[in-house]
Amino acid sequence: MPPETILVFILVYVLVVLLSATKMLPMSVAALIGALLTAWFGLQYEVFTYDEAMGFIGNNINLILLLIGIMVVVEVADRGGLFRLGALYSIKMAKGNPRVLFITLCIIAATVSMFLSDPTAILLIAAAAITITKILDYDPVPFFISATIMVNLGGTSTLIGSVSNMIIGVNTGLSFNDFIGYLAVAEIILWALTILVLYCIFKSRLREKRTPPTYNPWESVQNKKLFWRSTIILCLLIVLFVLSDILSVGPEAVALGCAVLALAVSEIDPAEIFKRMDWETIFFLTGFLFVVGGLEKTGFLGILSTQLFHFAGGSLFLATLMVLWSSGLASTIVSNMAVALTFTPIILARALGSFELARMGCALALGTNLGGAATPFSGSVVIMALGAMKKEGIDLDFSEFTKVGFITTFIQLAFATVYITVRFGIGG
Amino acid sequence: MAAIFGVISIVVPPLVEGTTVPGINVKGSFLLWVCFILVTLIFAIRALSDSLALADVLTDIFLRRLGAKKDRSLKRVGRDAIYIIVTILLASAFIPFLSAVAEIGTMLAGAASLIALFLIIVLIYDVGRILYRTVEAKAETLSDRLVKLARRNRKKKG
Repeated sequence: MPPETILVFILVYVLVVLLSATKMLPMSVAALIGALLTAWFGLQYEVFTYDEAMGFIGNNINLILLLIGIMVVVEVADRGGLFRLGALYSIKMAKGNPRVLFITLCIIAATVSMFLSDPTAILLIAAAAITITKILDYDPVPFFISATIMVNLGGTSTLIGSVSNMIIGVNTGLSFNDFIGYLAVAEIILWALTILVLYCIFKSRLREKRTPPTYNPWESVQNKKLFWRSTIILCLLIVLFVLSDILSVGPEAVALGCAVLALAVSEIDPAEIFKRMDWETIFFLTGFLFVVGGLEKTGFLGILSTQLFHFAGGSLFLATLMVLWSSGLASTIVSNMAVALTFTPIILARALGSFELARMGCALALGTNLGGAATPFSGSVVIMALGAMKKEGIDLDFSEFTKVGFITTFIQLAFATVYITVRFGIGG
Repeated sequence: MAAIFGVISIVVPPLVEGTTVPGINVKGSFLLWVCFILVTLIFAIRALSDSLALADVLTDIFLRRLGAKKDRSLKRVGRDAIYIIVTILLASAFIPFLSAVAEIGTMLAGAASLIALFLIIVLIYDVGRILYRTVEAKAETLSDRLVKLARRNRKKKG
């Protein structure tokens, strides 16, 4: 492939990243422009045929279906009031103690984010944080910043916890159980470590205890029939994910099956559900799959893969750590979905055994998830949290968030390095 | 003026070929050439600094027409980078089609390349200008801090 042709495809990739990072265009539009340019240049320079171009989407249709299925199930569960009820119960248990409330909110944020998409989770948690801090007259900044960081962290160890995990899982063959098996311990320790760091940072701002108002959390559930049905379907989804290896069914089939069931039994107008789905993410993913597919066809990602292993001196362990840190640092600027989509073919370009592939996949999952809340530009979750704060008249200084975000991200990545070393060993 | 003296430095010295300046024993043609080149350089430097000021104004007007805001932030550097990439990609996409046009194809492609090159130079100039000002501002802040620190230390010692 002539270097000029490769350069054109690299420029298309950089253009999409810059358009998304500077927010000059919505990220879905940026990715679709990238897809259009990739198709144009790919066919013009005969890098791929029309059929091969369609394969960029076709070969990844299971990823898109998995995403859509999860979104439908979670949307129905959210409308049923499951997550709101859980949040209200936990807050009630804190009994107005700001420190207990702070830790409780952090745990709820991470837990809710294991199932909900990060933007939806942060909207829910932000609403809860605003209500609490207003009623009890607490400083809202520690609650907001910590909830944002914990929402980003939640779901690192599950296949459905983040879109980047779905990308990695579908492409590397890591199942729901693999994710839990390899990363659950890491996530639990990361939660504790991050809460501890955040608590130390904000301790001085969490002082006075106030009496909370009495309320019944169940009052937030408007339709109990829907609540129970959606809760059962969500539990069914998780059980089927766990059993998917035994049943020899792909995660996308499980997600779609449960989505159809949820739509059938929820008695909600499907148009309402579809309207509230995160189409921005779906279109971004579709467009960016095309951009990365084009770049892969030029052979550039293969070259990057070779260089990565060359820099690591042929050591798979060092290459894994390089993937962890480079994906983590890249995710502080670029959307972690884009980072996952770019790194997956780089990893797959090397013929790795299942153990090495799992190690690489876990490093990438940790890197892409942990880097997502370091700066206000890292991802949509931070921007939405800051937007919610601004709406409430709280103008948070960007540098204050960045300071806390960078400290926690660095500590999390440092821990991830130790975890990967201990969990998988330094061999290879 | 720089251009005129440049031409003079080529044309005039050969006219006094063969003469030597008494006292310093240097060839007349060489001495004249050195003098004209010096004058040319002085005018060229002045012209360059004037053209930089003019380029500043022209770049501002041009970029404002393109829709760029007046801010001088690093975000604008990102936007300029986007414009540069878009220009390169558009040129790469359309120049092959332009050159395929019968008879005037080569001319059209050449013109398109020149326009693209002009746009890229203007944008790169804008990027350089913003980065220079940013670094300059940071350096000033740093030097101010160092001066304050030095004064504070001197007071403590005093």
